[in-house]
Formats: sequence, structure tokens, C-alpha cells
Amino acid sequence: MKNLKSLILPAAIILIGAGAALATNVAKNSDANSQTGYYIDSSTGECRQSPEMCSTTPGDLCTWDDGSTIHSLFQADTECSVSLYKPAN
Amino acid sequence: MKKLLTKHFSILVPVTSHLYILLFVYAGFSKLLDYENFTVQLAQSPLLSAYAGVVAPVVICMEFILSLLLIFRKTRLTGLYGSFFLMIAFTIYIYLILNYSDFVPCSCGGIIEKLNWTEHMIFNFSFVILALLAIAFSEKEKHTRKHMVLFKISLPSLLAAGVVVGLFLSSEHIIKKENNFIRRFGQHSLRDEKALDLGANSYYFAGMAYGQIYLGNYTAPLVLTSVDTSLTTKVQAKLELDNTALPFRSIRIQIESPYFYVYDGNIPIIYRGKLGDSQARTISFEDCYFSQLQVIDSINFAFRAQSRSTKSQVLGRLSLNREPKVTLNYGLLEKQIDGMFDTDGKLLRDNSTDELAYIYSYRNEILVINKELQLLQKLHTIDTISHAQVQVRRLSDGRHKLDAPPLQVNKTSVLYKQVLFNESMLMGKFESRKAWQQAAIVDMYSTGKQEYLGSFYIYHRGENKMSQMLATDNYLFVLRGSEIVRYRFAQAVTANFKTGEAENPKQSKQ
Repeated sequence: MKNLKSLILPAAIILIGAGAALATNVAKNSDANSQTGYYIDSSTGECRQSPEMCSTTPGDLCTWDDGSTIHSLFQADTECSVSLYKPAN
Repeated sequence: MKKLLTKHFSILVPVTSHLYILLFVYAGFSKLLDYENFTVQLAQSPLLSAYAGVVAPVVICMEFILSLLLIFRKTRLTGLYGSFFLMIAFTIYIYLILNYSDFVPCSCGGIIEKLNWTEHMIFNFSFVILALLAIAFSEKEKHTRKHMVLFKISLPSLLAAGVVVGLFLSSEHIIKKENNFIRRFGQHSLRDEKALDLGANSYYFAGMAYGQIYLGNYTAPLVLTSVDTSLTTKVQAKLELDNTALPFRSIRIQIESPYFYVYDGNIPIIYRGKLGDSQARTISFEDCYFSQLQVIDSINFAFRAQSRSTKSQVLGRLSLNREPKVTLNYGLLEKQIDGMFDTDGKLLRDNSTDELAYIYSYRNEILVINKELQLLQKLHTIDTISHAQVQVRRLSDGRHKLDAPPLQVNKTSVLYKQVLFNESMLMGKFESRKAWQQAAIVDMYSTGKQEYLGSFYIYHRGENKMSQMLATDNYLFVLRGSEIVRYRFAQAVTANFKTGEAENPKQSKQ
């Protein structure tokens, strides 16, 4: 009985952990219209985060104007390789 | 006081264990739920690329097993040692990335990805300290001798450091020298796109001379167009041949300063004219038929033809000042199936080093040849197709015909200063399918160092895909639909160009 009792806390923690992972994953994938756009910094070649939110639904290409250059935006997951589009609304 | 301290510390072990359980379960599940993405990111990591396929499941399994060990009192200490080991490995991994790599996306899963590298280091470090304290306390309770504890702690730390550094070093070797088909897109090789609309999609690159890009046109075969490298002005000139009473089928123009060459291998003729002048005179007539030609210099040419005796493709050389003018080298192209389709490929020339190369279209092989048509070396592209997958049927009239659509490996290529840019048709391991729908993938190899250098994307524009490339010291020019597009090479690419002998004598090979 005591043994069983001592398992309640770890079980709860595991549930919390798995639940949280599921929640962040769902949040990441479900909202096609709120993908953070990343751009290629032309001086360093790095894939950097932009303040623009884009969509994965194909349409016009998502861009961001940093004041001097207009950058095409990408999904960061794959190293600035998958293009993002302007949100439809 | 001491008792109070001990009492406080006694909570430390279960608290630490449960924090670790939470962390590992969360991180493990996050990775598992987004497994494809996790492996893609690992493959791009400069440390573990080659081992992405192994490291991914091992890390996830370790996280789950350690969580289990940490739950039960009996196995908790083992779990703590394991967690300590894994956390140290993660921390060293981050440290190496921060110091030896430009940029790598975090592959830790979930919200931990949102931390920046410094925050990540602090996060990991506090977990390492927690584990250390918990281990020290548990061992003290068990009255383990001090030096034994010290030994038991330093062993996993050293082991973790050894494993991560070892994986890093061997992964580098595998990716560069014996790549198992994992592409690296790490550094962005191209910058600042600029385009000029040429008005038609029938152009091809004829060459480069005097700071001008020369273009031929398939539909207007005798029009030579030149564009300056800043893509601002376009000039067209009509070429005139001294003998036009021939049934031309595919006229091509090639530039090798100070001359331009006009040829049509279906008719054995080559014309030559001075750039700036529109007149071209016949310099070779009825010497040889050919399907591809590369100008070596004003009187020497390398070509690919179909041999009448062996009925297969053969490379040859035409020298206008030698007798006989034509020499064929039967040993270069290796027949695998029929000798016609399976040996198909592209003959290239590196005008900076005078080397020639033949890139097979249906297998992962590149022949580097000198201008006397002697084989210098055989290289392999990173894909695994070493044997052409072409099904050929011999028709009753002796002709060969393709049975099934063949598996094409290499599409368009260009060789410049010992760097080969090769558009590949095969998707590597752990790559994004989406990116393949949006872009052409170009792999870079150094023929001098015999290494794979990395890959980059050339994006399609709508329906238009890249059809040809031309490399110069600073730029990559690409034809895409009716546009000519210029990209600037990143320093990481141009650093691989073979420099002149005087500038860098160490690199010279000859």
C-alpha cells in the first residue's frame, strides 16, 4: 500500500510532462496562421527570427521589411528552407 | 544546525529526481511527437549529422529509461548518475556548438527550444549542479568513501565528454569524406538575389569573358546575347558563318576568350570567331561527329561521341594541329548496362584549371580528366546510386530504347576553380520534403580535396525551375524560366575556390 502511495507523485509528474509536451506540440502545429517567420541574414548567412507572423497555407510569399531590405520568410525548423506565406485574413 | 541542514538536504534527492522526471518525460515526448523534425535538425547539426539516425532514438530511449530509474527508491541513485551523465553530454554538445559552429537549431523539443543558447547553458548547468548535489547527499547517506564518490562522479563526466567529442570528430570525417547521403545546409551559401528578365526561356549559358556573361538561344541559334555581371545591360549580336548551306540541327555557341565557337555535332563542323566581331570561320569540317563539346583552347577540343565500333558513348579529343586530329579514349566511360544510356552524362570544363570532368547522369560518379584525356581521379557524389538504374531494350533495328523511366541522379552541373556545383535529383536522409517541392538542391564538392562541402537551395519561381548554372569568382548565375538570376557566394563557398599558384602555392596540385 505504501509502495503504491509513493507512486502517485511520479505518476502525476509523468502525466503532467506528457500532457505539456502534447499541448506544446498541438499548439505548434495546429495554428497554421501563426508561424513565426525566419529570414536569412545576408551578412552572416544565419537563419534569424523576424517579428512577422506567417502562414503555412500557400498563397503570397510572406515577407518582412527591415527598413533597408525586404526579406523572404521561412519556417525555422528546417534551417530557413521551407517558405512561408502571407496569412489569408 | 547540522541536523536542520541534513533535513533540508534530504528533500533534495526526491525533488531533484522528480524535476528530472518532469524534464525527461516532457523533452522525450516532445521529440517523439515531432520525430521527423527532430531527426532533420540533428542531421543539420555540425556535430552529429552522420549519426542522426542512431542518436535520435537513443537519446529518447535514455530519457524514458532514466525517468523510470528515478521513480523507484532502489534505482534512484543509478538514475541520478545517468541523468548527470546525459545532462553533461547535452551541455558539452551546446558548448561545442556555441564555439565551433555558426548556427544550429536546437533539437531539444517543446518550449525548451525557445531558450537562447546562454539561457540554455544556464538551464542545463543548474540541472547538472542539482544532480551533483543529490548524488553527493545520497552517497553520504550510504557512507561511501569520499574518493570513491569523486571517482564515480568524474567517470560519467569524462565519459560524456569523450562520447560527444568523439561523435563530433568522426561525424565530421564521415560527412566530408564518406558521406552516407546526409546533406548539410548549415551555412547559407548564397545571398542577395538579383534577377533580370531576358524575355524568353530559351537561353543557355555560352560562357563568360571580359566581365560579360554570354548567352546563346536555342530558338535563335545565331544570336549571341551578353549581359554584364551587374545584370543591368543586355546586348545582342547576330553572328555570321562563312558556310551556312548545311542542314543544321542543333547549333550551339561556346565562349572561351578571346574567341567564340559555333558548332553542331550532328554536322561535323566547328566555327571560330573573335569576340566583338560577328564573323565566324570554319576551323574544323568533317573531322568528327559529336554530341557534346568543350573548348580546351583555340585549336583543341574535348568531345563526347558515339563510337561506331562499340556502339557506346566515348570521350575524345580533337586537335587541329595534330595528325591524326581525332583521338578516342575508350577506357574513360565505363559501360554498366548498354553503354549508351547508362553512360550518359555531362562533359564539363573548369576554365580556371584546364581540367575536364564527366558527370554521369544515372550513377553517383564523376570522372576528373586532364586535357590530354587522362583520368586524374574518380569521385563520388553523396547519394548511393553507384550502379545506373536504367532499363534498356535493344530494338530489332539495332537501336537502343529506354524501357522504364530511369532514375536520374545528377541533373545540371558546373565546375569552377575545383568546386563542383551539382544539382541532384535524389532526396537525402532526414530532409524536408516540402523544401524539395520549392527548390532545386545543389551539392558542392571540392575536386581538389575530394570532399563534400555542403548544399544549398535554388528556389523555383512559380512553375519556373532552375535550368542552368554558371559560376564566377563572386557570383552564381542561374537561368530560371525567362530570368537570369544572380546570387552572391558566401565567403564559406569562395574559400574553397582554388586560388592561383602564386597566391597560395600550398594548394596547387600539379
